Amino acid sequence: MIFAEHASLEEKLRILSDAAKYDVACTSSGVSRKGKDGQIGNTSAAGICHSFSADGRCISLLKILFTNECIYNCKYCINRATNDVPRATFTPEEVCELTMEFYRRNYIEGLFLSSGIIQSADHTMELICQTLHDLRTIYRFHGYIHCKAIPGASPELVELAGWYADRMSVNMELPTADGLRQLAPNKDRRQILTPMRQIQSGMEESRQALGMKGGNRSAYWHTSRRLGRSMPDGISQRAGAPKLTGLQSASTGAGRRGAVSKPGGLQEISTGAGHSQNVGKDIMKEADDLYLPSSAGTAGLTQWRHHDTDRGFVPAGQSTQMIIGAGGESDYEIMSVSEALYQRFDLKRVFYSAFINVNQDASLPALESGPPLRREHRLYQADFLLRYYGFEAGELLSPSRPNFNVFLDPKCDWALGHMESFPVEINTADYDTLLRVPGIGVKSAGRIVKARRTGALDYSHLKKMGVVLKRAVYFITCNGRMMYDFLKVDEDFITRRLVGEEKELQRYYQQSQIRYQQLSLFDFAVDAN
Amino acid sequence: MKEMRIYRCDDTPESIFTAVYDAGKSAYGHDHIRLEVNMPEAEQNYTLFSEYVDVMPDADKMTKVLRTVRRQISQQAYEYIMVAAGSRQPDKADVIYHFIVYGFALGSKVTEALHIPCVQRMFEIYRKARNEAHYFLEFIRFEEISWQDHPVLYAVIEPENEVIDMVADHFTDRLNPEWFIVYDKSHAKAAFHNPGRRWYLRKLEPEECRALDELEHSGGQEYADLWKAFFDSIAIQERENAGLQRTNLPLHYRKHMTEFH
Repeated sequence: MIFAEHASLEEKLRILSDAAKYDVACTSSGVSRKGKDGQIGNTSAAGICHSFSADGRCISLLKILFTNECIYNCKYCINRATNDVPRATFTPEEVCELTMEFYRRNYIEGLFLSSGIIQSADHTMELICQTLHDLRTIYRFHGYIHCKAIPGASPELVELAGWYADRMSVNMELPTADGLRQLAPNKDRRQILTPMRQIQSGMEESRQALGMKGGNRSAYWHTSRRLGRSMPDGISQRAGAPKLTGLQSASTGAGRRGAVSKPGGLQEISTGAGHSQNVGKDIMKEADDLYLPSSAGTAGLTQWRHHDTDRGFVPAGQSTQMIIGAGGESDYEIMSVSEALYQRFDLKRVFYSAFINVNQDASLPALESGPPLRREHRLYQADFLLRYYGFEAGELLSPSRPNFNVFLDPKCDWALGHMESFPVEINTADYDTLLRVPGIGVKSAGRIVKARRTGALDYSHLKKMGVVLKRAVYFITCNGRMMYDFLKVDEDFITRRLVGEEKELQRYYQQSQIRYQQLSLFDFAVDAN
Repeated sequence: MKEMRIYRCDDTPESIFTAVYDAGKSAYGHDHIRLEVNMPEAEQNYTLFSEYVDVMPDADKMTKVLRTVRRQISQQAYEYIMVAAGSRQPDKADVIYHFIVYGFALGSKVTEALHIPCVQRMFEIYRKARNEAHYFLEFIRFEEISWQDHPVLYAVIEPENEVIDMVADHFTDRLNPEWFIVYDKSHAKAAFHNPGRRWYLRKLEPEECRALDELEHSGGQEYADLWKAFFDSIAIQERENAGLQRTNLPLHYRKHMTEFH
C-alpha cells in the first residue's frame, strides 16, 4: 500500500477528490438560510452549481473523502483494502481551510464530506464530527454541509453530525440485499437502514420542536399529499404505525393496456391500480425487506442541550445512492426500492450511479461499451415521475416487463401504453392529467392552468409556455382540435415519430439494420447494458 | 388610417417610464402607440406616416408610473418591468408599455396571462435576464487582492443585462464579514461592500475602469491552483462529455473563471 503521508495539500486534494468523484450526490439544495452577522455563508433552497467538470456534471460542493484508507473490501470500490492505490488522509484543519478559502472565492457552495473506513466505523465518524464541529464553531461557516453517516457508527455520533450538517446520506450501495452481500461483504442492509431511520425520526422530532428551519419537505411528500395518498412520517413509524399498503397496489397496475379507460380518468389509473396480490411477489420482497423492526432508532434526539439549535437537525433532509448495473437487478426492482425509500424513509432524493468497473474485478460485469449511462438516464427520468408527477413504480414497469425502454423516455412509453386516456384537452384537463402528457412538465402544466383562467389557449401559446410540442402534439387537443390532421394516430405511428426525433438513435437503428416497420414497442425492452 | 405615434426615449429607466407615462396620458389609443429606445441594438428606422415624439425624462413621472404599477397591478409585475427596463432587448420599452396597459385591465392576473403576446414577450425578457443574473451567482469568481492594505475579494463580470444588484445583494448576505468589489466591465459600474454594511454602487470613469482592469489576476495563486487541481480530478474520464459541459456552462461565461485560465 502506498501512503502519501507527507503529501502536499495539493496532492492530498487530488487523491481524495479523485476518490470521492464516484459519489453522485452533489446537490446543495433543500434548505434556505440567510447569512448571519460575523459568519460566512448562507444557503439557497434550490441549490447553486458553481462549475461543470469535463464530464458535464455539476460541481456544487467541495466533494472529498476525509481519508481513502479503508478496512473494508467492497468489490466495486476503488478504495477497497486490497487495492494498491495512493492513500492519504486530511486533518480536520486542512478540510476547514480548504472549505473556507474555496467558499470565499465562490468556487463552491459548501462541503461534501465522505470517508473510507479508517480503523473502525466509530473512529471514522468521530473524525467527520470533529471536522464539522471545527468548521461550524471555530471557522464560523454558515453555508451548506453534506456529510455521510457511516454505517455501523454509534447513534450518538450520527446524531452529533446531524446537528452540524444540512444534509446527510447513507448509501444503499446496491439496490438488492443480495447484491450487497456479494459485493460489499463487510456491510449489511440493517447497518445501512438503521442510521437512515435514526436520521428520519430525528428530522421529524426537530421539525416538531423547532419548525422547518428553512428546510422543506421532499417533492415526493408534496406530490403524495396533493394526490391524497397517505405519507408516513418518522414519528408515526416509531409509534408502530400500520404498514403502508402503497407497494402492494403499486405492483399491480401491471398490464400495459389493462387499466381504466374512463374519459379523462387518468387519476383513476394512478390511484386505483387494482389488487392482484400474487404478481411479482419475489421482486416486491426486495422492497419489503426495507422494513426495520419498529424498535430500531427509537432513542430520539438526545443532544439538544449541547447544540446551537439554530439550524435544526439535518434541515435539508437525507439522500442515498445506488450503483446501477453491477448486480444484475432489473429496473423494476430498482424503482420499487426507490419508491419504498421515499415512502418509508422520507428521503429527499435517491441517486443512481452507472457502474464503472474501476477494479476490473472478474466477478463484476465487464462493460465494453462503457458505463450504462442511458439506463441511468432513464432511471433518473422515472425517479422524477415518481417524485413530481405522481406515477407509481408499478405503473411504469411490471414483473413481466421489468426494464425501461432505452429508446423512449418512461413517460412517452407509459403514454403509448395508455392511448385510451388521450388526447387530453388543454383547456379543461386538470393539473394532474396535464402532468401525464409527454412534453408537458411541472412548470408548463402550472403555467397552462394559470394562463387559461384569462383566456383559451392554442398551440402557439403552448410553445411559448415551454411545452415540448414535438412530443405533446400526439396526445393533446386545443379547443377540440389536434394540431395536425394525423391520418391515423396509433402507437406504431407515434413510436416511429418519437424515436425518429433523436439522431443518435436513428444512427443506432441504421447500424443495427433494424427497419422502422419491425419496431414494436414490446420487442425492445432490452437491457441498456 | 390613423397615423402611428412613436415615443422615442433613451436607454435609462427614467426615460423609459416617462415615455410610458406620456404615452398613457396622451389617450391616443394603445394600438397606435409604439415606444422606441435609442440603443445600439435597436435598428433606427424611420417609418413613414408616423409621428415621432421625443421624450424628456422626468423623475416624477417615473415615480408615478412605478407607484401605480405596484398598487394596481402587483409586486410581481413591478419586478418584471424593472428587470425588463435593465435588459438589452431593443423592444423593451414597447413591451413594458403594453404590458402595463394590460395590467391595468387584468390586475395581478396579468403576469399569468401568457396567451397575450406582450405578456409572453415580457415573460421571455424577464426569464432571460434573471437566468443571466443567476448564472453569475454560480460562475462569478473572486480572488483575494490587496486594496488599500486590506485583503479584498475582487471579481470581474461582463454581463449583457444589468445583474449587479442581484449579484451584490447575494454576496452581501453570504460574505457578510468580507470586503468585496464586483466590477461590471460591460456597464462600467462596480459594487463595493464593507464588512457588516450594505453595498453601494458606483458608476466608473474610464480611468477608474482601467485601474480596476489591472487588478485582475493580481491576487495570490495558492487557492486558485488548488481549485484547478480539484476541478481536474473530480471529473470522471469514462463519462467525459464536452457537449454537456458546454450546455451547462456556456463558453462566454468562462472568460473570467479561475478554472479555465
